[in-house]
Amino acid sequence: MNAADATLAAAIDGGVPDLYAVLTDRLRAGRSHEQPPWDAELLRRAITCCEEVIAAARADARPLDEALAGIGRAAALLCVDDLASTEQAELGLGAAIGSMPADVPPEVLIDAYQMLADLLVRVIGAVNEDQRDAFIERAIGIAGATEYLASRAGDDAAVARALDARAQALAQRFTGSRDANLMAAVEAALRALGRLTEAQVMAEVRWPLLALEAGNAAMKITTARSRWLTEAQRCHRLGRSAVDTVRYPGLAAVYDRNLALYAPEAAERMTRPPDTEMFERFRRRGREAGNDANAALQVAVEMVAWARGLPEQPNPYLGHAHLFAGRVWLGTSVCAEAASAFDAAAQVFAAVFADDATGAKLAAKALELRAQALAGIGSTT
Amino acid sequence: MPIPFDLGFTGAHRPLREPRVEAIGANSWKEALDEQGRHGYAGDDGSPRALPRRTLWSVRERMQDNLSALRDDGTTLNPAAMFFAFCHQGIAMPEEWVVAVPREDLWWLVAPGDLLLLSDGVTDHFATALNASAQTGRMQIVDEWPGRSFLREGYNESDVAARVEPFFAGVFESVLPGKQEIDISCEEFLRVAVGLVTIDTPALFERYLDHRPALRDDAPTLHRFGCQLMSAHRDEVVPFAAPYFARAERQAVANGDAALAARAASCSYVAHTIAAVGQSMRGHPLAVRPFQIALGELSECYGEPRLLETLDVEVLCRLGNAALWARQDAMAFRFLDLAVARDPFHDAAHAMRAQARMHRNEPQAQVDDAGEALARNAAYIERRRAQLAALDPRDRYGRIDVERRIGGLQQRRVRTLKTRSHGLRALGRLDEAQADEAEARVLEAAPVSP
Repeated sequence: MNAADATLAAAIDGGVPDLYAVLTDRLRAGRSHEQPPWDAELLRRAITCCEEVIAAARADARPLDEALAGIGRAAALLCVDDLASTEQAELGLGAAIGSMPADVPPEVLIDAYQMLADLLVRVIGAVNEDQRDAFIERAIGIAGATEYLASRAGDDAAVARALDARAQALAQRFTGSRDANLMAAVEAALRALGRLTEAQVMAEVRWPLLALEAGNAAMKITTARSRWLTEAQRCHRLGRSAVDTVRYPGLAAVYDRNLALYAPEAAERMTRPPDTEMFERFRRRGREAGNDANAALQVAVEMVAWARGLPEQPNPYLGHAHLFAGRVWLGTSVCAEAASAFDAAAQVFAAVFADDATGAKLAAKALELRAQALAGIGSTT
Repeated sequence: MPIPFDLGFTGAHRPLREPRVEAIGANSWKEALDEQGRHGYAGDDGSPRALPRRTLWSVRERMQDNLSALRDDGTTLNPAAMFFAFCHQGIAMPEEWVVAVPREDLWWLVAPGDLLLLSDGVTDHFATALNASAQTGRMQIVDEWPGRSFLREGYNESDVAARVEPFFAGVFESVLPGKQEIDISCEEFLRVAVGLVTIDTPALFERYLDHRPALRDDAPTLHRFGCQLMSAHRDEVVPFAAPYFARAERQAVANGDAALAARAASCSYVAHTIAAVGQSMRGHPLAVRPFQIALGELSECYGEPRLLETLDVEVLCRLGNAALWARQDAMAFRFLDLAVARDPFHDAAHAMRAQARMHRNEPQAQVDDAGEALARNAAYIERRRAQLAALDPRDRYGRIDVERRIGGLQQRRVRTLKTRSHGLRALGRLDEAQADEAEARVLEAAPVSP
């Protein structure tokens, strides 16, 4: 049993107040995949312990104890870290917040809101794309409420954690201007780090993780690019200086790779935002174009032009761009153009993913669509 | 302004601002440098005009209005950016206008592009900050008439001996011929500094409290912070104001300062209401809850009717507007009815209530309210036109200010005409509707003219 598990085991024996303290401390400090996970059996026992206290407190009309146990249970579920447990945690937190008495200590309310904010931000990537925008708005709303509570309490560290959640949500937001969202994410992250002492930044992995996220967000900004690359470098340097390289060697390595991008010999790569970011922007625009054929075609043309301009040729983005263009043409029954586009896509995928099963599937899909397009030509003649 | 790169200007101590905000600061000093030498010095006129009274607050208000009128998608303008006005504590300024700080903190605050109000007790003058250095203990300023600056040796009562030098050591002389900067020491600056207007985000107050931690629980300071944030009339910054007012109220109660507690409670009510409305648009029911709880506590402690009584018509309109945006029409009506009752001659209150009636599909009442608003709006425009005609033609800033106000009134007129025409169409009064629409089109196309 490692030290963290030993602490948890002692806290289970100590009861809900100890459990609450241990679990919330762990969650406040942030999560890294390099940290050893909690012992699953211990977490199950912690959850059961909290559930027993919830039931007893409810029966005895002790709302504060019920709330503490509810938050402790949610914290344990979050430490389990699978989707089902996370969903239960969200429901539990909602119930705990909703039933909190008026005299609840402010730090308890802040903890509950912060946990909810972190939870919502954590699962954004798992939400269906068509529901993601609204979900991100809700996450930003909860982060805003958390920041308010923390500001009101004059708790700088809690304000910083709320801003962390806000930054993470904004970094994934595509509603409105993507660049503006990324800028706001960087701003929130730097505000968060500005609320903390150097010792605090180095003590919890949450902060170097946030600095990494902020730097990566800044690297994706296209407007006034050189100015924001300076911010990116600032964030990455700040974060790298705060990483505990013994406990988190993987994180340190990620930082070192990022910092190498600012070296003069890598300057060419920095003149444009990461290809993955640009591809995601095109995908997003394509979805937003919906049934507007003209708008969709515009996106397709720009995407092909962008992909053709990348230094590495051919590249998977070019294949996807041709595939998208083909679908647009097919949707408007311009079958000859569609067939050409699908043909180009198939060739690119075959070249790029020569020995890859994924590539073979993509190429096969492109050829299938090409056949469909050719059949369409036949049917009009 | 042909300076395509960053010259590295900074403040002496204030942390660097967010890049979009820093860029606006840079634009301010570049514009000031551009203006240098363009216009004659008022004192050189054969019959010098009386200078209009401009206070730190009135200038800040104008700058904020100009900033608020700009719109973009957030890539150039930080949505939370606003102008802040600070003065030293020796100046008696109402708390809702300017944040008073120890005199030496004006050196901490000064940043590139800041508008500085300088005075030796005889001459008052506005100038623009370029750069301040903690290492050298000196700062550089841009003045529209550097050769006439009262900061030169022998021209002031504060023993300031400013050096007037080529801008940036003359490096840009070929592209910016004749431009100059004024160089003074930190001590000289503090002898003549009255206050400054600076652009930043609400995070400025966080950094300032890091610099002055003793003020973290100072009720008057927290209250002034909240007032300053609210005075920008930007709902994006209201959520920053709410906790300052809450803390100010609580601290004032603890200190036994009932008057300040009551003022903070009134402001807190407004800030929390607007913040709650904004949070409600995020879609998560728990996002609003902390603000609603705070409002409940205020109402319980002070009584909501009493809190509402303290609010003037402009504030009530602001609350109504926030509720309208969020389509919380019942709340909008509550505030706008109060606004109209408080001042039946207020055009914006009637105009907004007309919009609320449009949401509720009450065309006759919509037309009536819009009509009231338009009548008053016309009267206001005429009054401003008369003011413009009476201004000295050499009063450049005064003319710009009044022209912009007329423009704002005309924009409001266009919106209200459209609201009324919508109601008229619903009532089948098509000729009148078309007349309103035609007037709106003319106004939208025409520039402001006396």
